[in-house]
Formats: sequence, structure tokens, C-alpha cells
Amino acid sequence: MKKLSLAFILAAGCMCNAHAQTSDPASTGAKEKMVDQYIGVQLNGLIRQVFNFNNSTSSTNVNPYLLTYTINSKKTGWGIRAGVGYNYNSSTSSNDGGISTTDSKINDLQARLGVDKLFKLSDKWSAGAGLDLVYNTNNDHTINTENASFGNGGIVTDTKTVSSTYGGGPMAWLRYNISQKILVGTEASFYYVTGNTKSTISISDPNNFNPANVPTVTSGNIGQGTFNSPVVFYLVVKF
Amino acid sequence: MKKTYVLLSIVALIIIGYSCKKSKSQSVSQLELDLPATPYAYSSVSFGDSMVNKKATLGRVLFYDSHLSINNALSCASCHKQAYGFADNVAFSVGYEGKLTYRNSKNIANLEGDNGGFIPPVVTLSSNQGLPLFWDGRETALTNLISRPITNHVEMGYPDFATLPQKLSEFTYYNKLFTDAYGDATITTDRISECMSDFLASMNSNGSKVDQFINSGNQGVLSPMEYSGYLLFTSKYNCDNCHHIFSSSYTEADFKDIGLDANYTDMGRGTISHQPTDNGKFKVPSLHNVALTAPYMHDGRYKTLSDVVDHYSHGIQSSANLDLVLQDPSTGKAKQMNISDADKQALVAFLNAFTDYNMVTDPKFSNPFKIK
Repeated sequence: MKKLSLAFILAAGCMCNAHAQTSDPASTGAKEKMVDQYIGVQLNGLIRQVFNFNNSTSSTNVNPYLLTYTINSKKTGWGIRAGVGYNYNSSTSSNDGGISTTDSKINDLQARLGVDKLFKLSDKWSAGAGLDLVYNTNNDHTINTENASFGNGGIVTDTKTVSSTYGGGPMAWLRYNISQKILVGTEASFYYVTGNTKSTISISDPNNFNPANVPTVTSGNIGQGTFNSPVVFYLVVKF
Repeated sequence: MKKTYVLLSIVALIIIGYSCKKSKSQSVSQLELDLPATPYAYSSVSFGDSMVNKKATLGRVLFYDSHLSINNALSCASCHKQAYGFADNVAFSVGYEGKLTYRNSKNIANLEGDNGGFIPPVVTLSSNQGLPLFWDGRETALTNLISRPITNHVEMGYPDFATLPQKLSEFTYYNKLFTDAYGDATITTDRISECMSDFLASMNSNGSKVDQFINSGNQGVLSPMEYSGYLLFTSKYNCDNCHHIFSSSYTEADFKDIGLDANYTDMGRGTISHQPTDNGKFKVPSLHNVALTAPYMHDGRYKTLSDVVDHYSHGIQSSANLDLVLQDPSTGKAKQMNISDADKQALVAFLNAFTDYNMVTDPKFSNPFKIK
């Protein structure tokens, strides 16, 4: 599968680098492009998967936007940018020698929308700066079932956590043209987000454990600023 | 006719699929608390507290009790497994909702001597202050450590540590255990912290080949390869500059940037001290049971000890706060030690000799909850 992925990436790269004879737009009467569009995919995770540098998934998701799209005016450099990342994980684990089993479903969505201005530094290098609005939402559901108990049955604990945050902040990026259509880039940003989180816990206990003693609903406010250093790399296709 | 066959096939597949679906068993096994009539000797010295062994016994039960997480899914031992030197065998452990923790679970051993032996005289097992704990040293006292994972929103999920005693009071076995340890059954956060930190402080490793060699000076305890690794460790490669071989924890109370990344993805100590000069620095880990605690580093990036030695051999990055010892004095850039295969083999053999098989099988540190 890894080899197939690698082959696919290489083939895509070759296709994007293959050009027919260029024709002069003036002579063909073709309309000159007003905008450049860019689609980016985060490389860090991809490289890790393909080359198996490390089979563990980093929990420190330094930049959750897996896919990005930007459209910039060729004339002014101003443009609109968007990014989205989605994480779904369903797992079942046996805990502490089989005393309990936990079923978890994690749904995380991150999205951003913003404006930026592109600056051409040279034939190969370009940079940009802009402002983003960001929105994050998590919807997680966990059921823990005790398989062993001191009483007549095991406690079943159902936890649902929903959180959403929104905010925004400045960002800047740097790109290098590998070819006319293929670029690699990195970015730095500072986003401040605010929002709330709510956990609902329901307990079913055949031993009449008193659920009133356990917080059934907890909620809280979130307010945090995060600086993302330029350690995430994007493979960007221009068209 | 063809349509009928297709329809029947679909129905048959649905029936087969449904019948194959794993039915959830309703039967629940009985759990029992397997504790000795006379508490294990967690501390050979009472330090003026005659109940210390009973408190550590209670700490052991708490350490293994999954009711310490908000949804009863995880105990401390879920991420600190005895078989792996009380570390976890994955890069990131799984929290109460199935989410991954931010850093690799550290091993537990000789926490009282974690500052390299320069500790003030202890009064009780858990009383000492000033030891950096966690990868970033966010706590310096064992008693304060306890509430951190319990209230962490990824790890055990309690929004308020103060609500835990009331929950635990519903479990009858705690009445007896708290009465044994304190004379009454009152459960408080302070008592939970004290008992658990007594248990943690008692987790001492002193039975490895290296322990025996250091304590006795008898180099015959080590194999020729291990002894060769010891010499390389302490002289040629100067590893004991940070992993002090003559301290009880084989570490030092400091934070180091060992050049894992040229650009930091985790600021480490810097997130606590807010000093740029601390960015990318992490607590020097203990070497007790190091062969059992893979994967290595704060993010579990290295799967084997050989990978770790390779990092020091030719993988050090020139990062902003790279430790001076790992810099080439002439260029100020990352040092390339270019460790030969033979030296690597000897170093790994020496690191393997830190395994204390007694500690990782000792019943007094084991899970007291048994399924009948």
C-alpha cells in the first residue's frame, strides 16, 4: 500500500511536470489568466505514512489543516484562502487486564477562511501574509463497560463531549517553486480561539452506585492562543 | 427471475451479517482485591509515620483503580505498566475518551532520587520537594503530581479533583483501606495524594546488574560487553554527563535540548518557564529499566535503544538551545559522534543491564484487582 501511494505521488508529480509545447496566449487568442489557484496537502503526515519514519501518530497536531485552497489575483496578489482538516477515529480497547472495555468515537473538524496577499520574492520563492477566521468542533463519544465488578454487574459509563471554538489571527507563509506547477511551502500562524466545551456523562450501575455523586454534565469555556511555528510542510499544486 | 436471485442474495447476506455480529456478553466477572494480611514493606524506614506501609498499600489500590478516571475507563496503571518499567509501550498513551496524550508516558522508578542524589533528608516517603517531574518539570513535589493526570482533559478527565473523594466513598473497599491507613474512613484529596505518592516513592529499582555493579564495585556483575559499554558511556561518549551513573536515578534534575529537531514542535520546558532559552528542553529521563520503556524521547519517536544511540551518533540537529555537550566546540554546530557498530553494540548491551527484573515482577507493585 505504501509503495502504491509512493508510486501514485511520483506519477502525479511527473504528470504535473509534463508540459506540451507552450503556446503564446496572444497568438492563440486565449484569455490570459486573472487568478492563480493553489491546492495544498499537508506533507508531514504523508511522508510519515509513506516512508514509515515513525508508525506512531503524533498527538501534537501542530497544524490540523490537511487540505488548503487559495485563489490569488495575478495582478494584485490579494486572495482568499481556506483550509479544512477532519479526523475520525473509532476504537475499542481493553483496559487494565480486561477489567473494562472502552469504545470511543472521535470526530474532530477544523476549518479556516481568510484573506492573504502574495508577494513574489523571485522566480522560485514567494511569500504571503494574511488574516484567518478559524472554527473548530469536536464531537466525541465514549462508552466504558466494566467486565468485572465487586457487585452484581459492571458499571457502564457513557461520555459525550462536544466542544466548539472560533476565533482568528494573523498568518504568514513561504513557498518554493519546484516546477511551474508544483510548490512546497510552510506557514506560521497565531490563532486566538474562544468557545465552550460540554461533557455529558450518564452512568448505568446495577449495584445502585449513586450517580448523583458523579458530575453528569460539566461545561467550561475555552480561550487560548496558539502559535504554530513553521514546521508543517505543504505540497502545493498550482493551476 | 434474475432480480429475484439478486434480492434473495441481498437478504441472505444481511441475515448472515446480522447473525455474525458479535453479541455483547451480559455476564460480568467478579472482581476481588488481593491484598496481603500484613502490608508489604514499602519502606524499610518509617520516617516517624508508622502507617506508611498501609498508606502505600492504599496508594497501590488507587494507582490501579480505574474509578479514578471520570468514566471509569483508565487507571494510572493503564499508561504506567509494570511490565514496561511503569512506562507505556506506545509513543502516546490513550486517554479516557480514546484521544492520544500529548507526550510519551514516563517510567516510574526512584522518583525520590530524581535530582541526582542531592535531596534534603526525607521526613515521609512523599514529602520531598524540588524534584522536577513530568517531561517539562511542571511539578516538583510528588504529592502535587497526583492530581495532574486525574484532572487532565485528555488523560483521566476529572474537571475538579475535589469531586473524586465523594465518588470513591461509594466503593466499600475504600472504607476499610482508609480506616486502616488513617484511623477513619474519611476520604480527602490530600489523603489520596499522600497515599499515592507514598506508593510512587516506594517504587525503587535497585536489582539491575548496573545497580549491583555500582553498589558493589564488582565489575564481574557485568558481562565483558556490558562493561565495555559502561566504559564508553562514562568516558568516550560522556553520556553520564547527564545520566549520572552514580546517582540513584541515573539522571539529573535538569532539562536538556538534545537536538531532536532543528525547529521545535514541542517547546518542552519553555512552556512552563516561558523562557526562550528553555524551548526544546526536556527533563533528562531516568535509565532505570530503560530497555523496557520503549519507545523513547518525549514523543516516542525512537523505537529501540539502537535508534537512540544512532541519534547521538549522527542524528543530532543544530537547534537553538542545543546542549553545549552536544555541540562541536570548533563550529558550535551539532556534534557528530559517529559511533562505530561495535561501540553501539556495547552501549546497547550496557543499557540493557539497567533492567531490574525484580521490580517489574514484584507483587507489591502489581495490580491488586484480580478477576475471579
